[in-house]
Amino acid sequence: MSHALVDAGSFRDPSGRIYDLNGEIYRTVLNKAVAEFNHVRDSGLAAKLMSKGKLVATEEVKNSTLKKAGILAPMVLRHARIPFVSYPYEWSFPLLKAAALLHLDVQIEALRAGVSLSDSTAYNVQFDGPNPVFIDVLSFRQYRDGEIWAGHRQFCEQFLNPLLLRAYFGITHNAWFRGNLEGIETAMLARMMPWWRNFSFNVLSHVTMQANFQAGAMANNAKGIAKAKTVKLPKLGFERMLLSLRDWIKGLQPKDTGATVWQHYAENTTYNDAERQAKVRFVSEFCAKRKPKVLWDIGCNSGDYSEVALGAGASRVIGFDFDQGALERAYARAKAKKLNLLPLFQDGANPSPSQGWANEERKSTIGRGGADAVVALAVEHHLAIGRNVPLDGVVDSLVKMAPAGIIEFVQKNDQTVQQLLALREDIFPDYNQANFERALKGRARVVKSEKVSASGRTLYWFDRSKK
Amino acid sequence: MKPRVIAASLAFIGLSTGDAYAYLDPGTGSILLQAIIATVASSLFVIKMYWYKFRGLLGLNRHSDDDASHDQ
Repeated sequence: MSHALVDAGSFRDPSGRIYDLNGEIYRTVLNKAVAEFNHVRDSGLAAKLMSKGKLVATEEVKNSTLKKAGILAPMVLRHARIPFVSYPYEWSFPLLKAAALLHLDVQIEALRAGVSLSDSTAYNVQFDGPNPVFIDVLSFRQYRDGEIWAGHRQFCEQFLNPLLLRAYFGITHNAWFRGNLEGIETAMLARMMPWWRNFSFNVLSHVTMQANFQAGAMANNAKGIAKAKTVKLPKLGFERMLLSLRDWIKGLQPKDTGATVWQHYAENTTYNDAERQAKVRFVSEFCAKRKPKVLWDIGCNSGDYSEVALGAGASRVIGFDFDQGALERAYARAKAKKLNLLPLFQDGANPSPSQGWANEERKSTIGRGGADAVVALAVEHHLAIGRNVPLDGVVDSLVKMAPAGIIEFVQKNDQTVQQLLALREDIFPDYNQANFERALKGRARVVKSEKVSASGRTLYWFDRSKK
Repeated sequence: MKPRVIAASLAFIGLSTGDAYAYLDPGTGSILLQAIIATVASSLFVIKMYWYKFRGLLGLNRHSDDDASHDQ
């Protein structure tokens, strides 16, 4: 019997579950959901959304497909595999905004086709490069006259509120969202909203009034529920509400919090052109040889070398960085140049954990894996010196990410390391190239190495395979 | 203030029953609010529509191709 892995994050909606069987992604359609799915298919909505790239490619397959794995279901769908599943707490502002707009667009089109969505969870949006795609076909339901927008509160908590946090207060949503997987509670946001913001009907209604109504209903629960049960929302009002939210969100921009440290990295780098050229050559040669399907660019910054990698033979790059400004630039670059690059927020010293229900609903960064190659340029010293991670541990974690890759070693006398040490004691007597090489060679073959700067910065091409 | 706000909101709401069918709890605050938002959003939309019509008459409208409302 083949072994099908059930996705641990797909239990909330009883309409179906996700299975991974030999690398293919299947979704079972159960019970009532079969009729709902048939309605959505027959409405033409799914095909229309798929043709526009807004819905993940989905096809019906024989339900015997999963039978050999011991799973019985009246209907089985197969989805195109999302190369790297990401979570809203890993998205920068423009990614979250793009996901929010997609969600609204899908809902607006659905409503016009007589279909509504059972929820508004941000986890139902994934990214293919920098472009959002909706993945949950079982969220669609036949629209029933007068029904309310069941996902409104969830939309606010998972899309609107985190965007407002950044747009109005200059506070990034990532840490808060990672701590509370349901998003930013409206009551919390309402508490910090200055009174004059309520001159905007959008703020007054979606934030302040919603929070007040909720508090009022909590104080008199039975009465609140009884009243809520009587609410009917005309279809026209539903659509206008979605459209006006879309207008509002489309205009939101991060509050100007000043240039972040790395935002101008590409123009303001600490190495000269010859060094850059050497790095470009090295990365290009590596990518041309390995042709990685998925390359992780650790410390991707504004995506400079991600772009080089894509140009030289990598099919897809997942970039990781902790600087919001750099991530926003990387996103803009990916959109403008149509690069298959997904830049995600990540603190190298504290990557996303496995969390949620039973600690496995949302997977850890390392657990999601899938990289054929890793590139870590000018990263190692930030972890080893900046965050006190033992050098051996830094090398170990980078080498484990992919079967092959490039790691740059930065000497202690390098200007950037000296900056990291400027106001602190040097407690790193073992930080040197010999120890770095020992750590690397203990774990992988060094295919090639090259000194790329006068200060001795050196690139290492490693390969874990035994030749 | 809150009971009065709720009372005012109910004035907008057509009274009929019907359970929201979803596995998700939509939240009482969200539901009570929706009737109001929908009404106001509709009125604002109508005003906006006329505003754009007016601007159109004066030849002041810019084209936007990134808008769901023009998507049909």
